[in-house]
Amino acid sequence: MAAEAAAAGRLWLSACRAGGHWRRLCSAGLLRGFLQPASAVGDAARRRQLAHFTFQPDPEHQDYGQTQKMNLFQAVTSALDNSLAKDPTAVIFGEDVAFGGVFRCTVGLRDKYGKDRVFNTPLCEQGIVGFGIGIAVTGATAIAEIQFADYIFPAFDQIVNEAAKYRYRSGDLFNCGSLTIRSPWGCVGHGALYHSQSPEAFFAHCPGIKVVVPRSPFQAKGLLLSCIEDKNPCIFFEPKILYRAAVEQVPVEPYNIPLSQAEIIQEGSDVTLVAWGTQVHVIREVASMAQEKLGVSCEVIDLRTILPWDVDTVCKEECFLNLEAPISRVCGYDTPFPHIFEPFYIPDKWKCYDALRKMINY
Amino acid sequence: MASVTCACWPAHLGPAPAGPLSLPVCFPWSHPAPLLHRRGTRSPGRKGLALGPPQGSAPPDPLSQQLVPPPLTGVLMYRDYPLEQFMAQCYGNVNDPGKGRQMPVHYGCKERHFVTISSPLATQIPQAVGAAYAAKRANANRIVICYFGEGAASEGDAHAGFNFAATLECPIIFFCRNNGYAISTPTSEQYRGDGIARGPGYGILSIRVDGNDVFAVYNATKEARRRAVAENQPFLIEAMTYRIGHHSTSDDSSAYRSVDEVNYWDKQDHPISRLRHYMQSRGWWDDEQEKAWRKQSRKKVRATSCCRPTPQGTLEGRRLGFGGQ
Repeated sequence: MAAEAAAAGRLWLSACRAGGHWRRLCSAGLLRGFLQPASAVGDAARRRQLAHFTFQPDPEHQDYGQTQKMNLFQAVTSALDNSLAKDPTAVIFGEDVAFGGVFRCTVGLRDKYGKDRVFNTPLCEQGIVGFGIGIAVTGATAIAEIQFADYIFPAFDQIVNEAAKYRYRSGDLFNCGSLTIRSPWGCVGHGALYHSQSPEAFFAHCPGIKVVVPRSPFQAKGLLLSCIEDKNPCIFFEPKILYRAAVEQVPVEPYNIPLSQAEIIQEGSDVTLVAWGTQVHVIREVASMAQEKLGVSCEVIDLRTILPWDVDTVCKEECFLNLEAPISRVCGYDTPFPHIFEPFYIPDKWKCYDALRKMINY
Repeated sequence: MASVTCACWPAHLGPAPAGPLSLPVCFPWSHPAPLLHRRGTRSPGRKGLALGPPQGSAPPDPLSQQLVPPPLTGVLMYRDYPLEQFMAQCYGNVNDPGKGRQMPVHYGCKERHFVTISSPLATQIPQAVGAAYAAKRANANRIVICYFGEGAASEGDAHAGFNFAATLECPIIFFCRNNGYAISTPTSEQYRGDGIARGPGYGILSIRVDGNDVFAVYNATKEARRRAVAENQPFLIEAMTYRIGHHSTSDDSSAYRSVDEVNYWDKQDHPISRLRHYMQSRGWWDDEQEKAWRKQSRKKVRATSCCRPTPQGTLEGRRLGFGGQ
């Protein structure tokens, strides 16, 4: 046990040196009491905030003009700014968006574009989405915010029974394609049941809408702009843990990243790892671990659009029909998202690595 | 808090508009009436409501309908929607603009600004508010009128819609047809407050009208429209009426209400009869014309009833409506 811990400790050490921060040593809490450096003892509050991933920025893109250092929420603001500047019908609304939003995604927009274009609504998700559908039906661009993805469920009927079906059921006489719903999404370290959910699966089988999750600021701006311009109602989930943690050079001008196109961010030949949002950074690290420890070459895919998803990239036919092991799914447990137990609940790199190892040895 | 009472005209809305209308106006209302009546089991009370508002809301204001539209069929009919297209949607044949995708009576018409009906109740209420907000931003001098029943008003979407309309100052008329029943559920089991004229709780000016009095409905709607555009605020009209017919062809209402009750409304307070008597008293109509017009209407309806689906039409129409891909 001690030997294992020591071995694990070595791994933690090498990870932490590579990462640069000594505190990352105790991120999963598993080695608490074993190998904490003296400086971290008693630093309980800070330990609770250590992340299970390391954000890996993409190399700066040269094709889109001048760039600026932005974190993810600033990239969202930039996309919204571009949209309101380009499209005079575009409006942004939801709870608390007027002062800038609880995650600062709409800071400055009301002052710049006016209170008729950036405004608060009453606290009512079904109303927010229904209202947004109505705006979109007239042809104006509606950008609705649901304050946390955990609270999207009151709007489920409006999304699934109305927005998704508007064009089909009217024989294309009417549609709400200019509706985009954006919402903070996913685990954040301390969110518990109602500030951590990733509800994309509930929408993933609903024809008529699109569901998108970005992994980074650059991806977020391009994908959000594509959602806003797409002629179908879109849900854009923003990984809240990346709002500040992810920083990249992001083009100032508008640009689009296509929907329904997964991105192979690392080529590989032995195992395919697929994820979206924050988890992409986890599996990137798992790919490195696999290469280093097992000599296994991993293909890493960011799905980006959950619905309609890029089945061709993920399931390259000649490979998919010749799999040498069953597909493995690493996710949270079948319980609600816990508070204090989050480190045990989330599919961290160790669980993913373990699944990969079992797959290789299948 | 003062409750809204059945009023001829609430004083705080200003002077009442002019009384009953003249001959030319009555004729457009009276003409669709037999067509609606003949089509079956629909409540004439709801027909009164159907015929009233359209003239009050000068086209082409967008209309957001709740399901149970046969009474609101009058609205579309008033906007000259052809009988053939009503039938086409019901049959789901190749001529259905909805491409055969929905159950009967889920009409929609872009040119007439009649948003396609969907089955879930009250979902259209916050949508209508959004459309009204967009109309306000566009300085279109347009309003949206949104129809729903007293049952749908119990849905959370109704509460959401009212609250949004008031806080966001939207030019919209919420038109509630209170006909006493939501399928078998009487109003005593639907609400305990003072009907659906609960707008004052949201800061919405509201009026309750006799839904079987076409002139009352017309006047209320006309004034509400004028003010909604001028003042960018919502209005709520609760039109009291009675559903004489069954809820649908799958319903037998004798299971939950007495024949006497139905007969009372049919004989004593029928909006079409009331309008007819008024016109007859003015010498604008008589039994001969009534007979002739009924005959003509019957012929018209029968002529359009031979619209069975064609195999070719139904398959072609089944493309998924996924736009912009």
